[in-house]
Amino acid sequence: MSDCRFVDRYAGTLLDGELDPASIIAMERHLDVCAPCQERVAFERRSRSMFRESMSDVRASDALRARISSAIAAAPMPAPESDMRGLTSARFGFIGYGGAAAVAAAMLLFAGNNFGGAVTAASVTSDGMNGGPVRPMIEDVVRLHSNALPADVSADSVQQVPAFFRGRVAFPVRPAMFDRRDVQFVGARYANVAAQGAVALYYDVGGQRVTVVVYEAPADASEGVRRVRRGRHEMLYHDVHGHAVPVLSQGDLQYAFTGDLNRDELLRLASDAHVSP
Amino acid sequence: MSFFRSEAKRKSEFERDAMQHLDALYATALRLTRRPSDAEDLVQDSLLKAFRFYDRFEAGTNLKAWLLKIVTNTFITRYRRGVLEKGTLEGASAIPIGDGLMSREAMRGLLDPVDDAQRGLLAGEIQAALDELSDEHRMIVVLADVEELSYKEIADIVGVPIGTVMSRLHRARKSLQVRLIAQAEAMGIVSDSTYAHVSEPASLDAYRRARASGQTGEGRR
Repeated sequence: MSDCRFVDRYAGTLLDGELDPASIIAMERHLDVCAPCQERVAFERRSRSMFRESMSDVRASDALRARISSAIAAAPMPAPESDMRGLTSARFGFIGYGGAAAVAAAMLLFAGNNFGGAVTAASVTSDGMNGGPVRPMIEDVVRLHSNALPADVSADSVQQVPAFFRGRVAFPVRPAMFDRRDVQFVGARYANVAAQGAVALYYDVGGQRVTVVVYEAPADASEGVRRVRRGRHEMLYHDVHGHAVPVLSQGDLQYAFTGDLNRDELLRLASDAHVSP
Repeated sequence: MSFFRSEAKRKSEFERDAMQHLDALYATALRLTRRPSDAEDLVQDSLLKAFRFYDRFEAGTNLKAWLLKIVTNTFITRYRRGVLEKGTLEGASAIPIGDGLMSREAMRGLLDPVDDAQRGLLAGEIQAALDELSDEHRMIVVLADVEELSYKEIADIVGVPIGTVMSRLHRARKSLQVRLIAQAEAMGIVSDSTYAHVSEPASLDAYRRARASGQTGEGRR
């Protein structure tokens, strides 16, 4: 691709602030010497501001305003935490909570009887993350919990989960199951983990939210991993901001656990997990 | 935020804060649904939902952005349901537009200031072009250019990979720009809207590879 074509294709990405640093440098170097491409970027900026302006003339009617006011007046007061499924900006207390009740977030690889695999951590390092591909994935897992979006598939349809995601993600999705009365499946939705398609599974564990994210294991899943022994299981985990997220391996997939549980509770939950047949 | 506010106080606080953004919410809802009656229903449902979850809103952060996300999520939840019933989530959604370079003259012509009447006509054309995009292209443009969300946020909300967000956004914007230039030409603002057609595929990876091996054309000085 020529530099001019590159600018044409990625001028929007540049203005969105989403271009990678190397491409920005390459593009800026080209823009310095190419007047047509400077105009291309200026046009991109201009067309966008015209687009925004074109939205600014729209006004809501007084009737709508009145209708909404009376609907709010008539609305029942919400019960605190009445809906576990969460909304866009729902925060569940990652940052700024601290203490034992803080959300646990670390990545554990372990092979329990339920998952039937072998521990895959061949080269465990003790010094934590090294800036490879795993760290961003774990941070995304944490983000998917702390910034939860509504479910695509809801509580009454756990059996629909595999069919729902068939063709939407590149792997067959089987929800993690728990033989515990205090764990309920709440819903699932499509998610992205380090720009890969993934599935976030939502659970209610004794009134606390837990998110299990399923994604294809990265090539070096053991990067930065840590170990802890729990009963017969050896679990591997990564530490994220002082918290722990357990991850189970099942074939090529990983199941990463985050939740509003303390570290021990989350580890116990992970060790109780199995996938549906 | 205290959990012990009275019911009336809480409602009036929410109304005072949220209703300030009603016009913006409605404008976005109208762009998403394309029908005023659907847009009104969407805004009302979204605000009631926002009220239910108002305790989850972090005071001091951007309320408008939070409300816009709820509007979009509510739309997508319904839209997805509708689409899933039809079973065509990823169908023939490609917009037939050449990935060509727009003419320099045409783009330059639009950089000059236009008068109010012209601006109105161009705005109308942009909106018409937007309404003609497929749902999945339209909402991604709205999320990116109106709500100014990151690709990652858009990917999560819409439920597609980030690469899909990028390519849909590019296509959608390009088709809006082509329509904008065509309208400007019809109005005599720009003279030449023909654009060079180049069939070379535009892939970021291919570009980086070419760059690494020193094969890109102009610009390596």
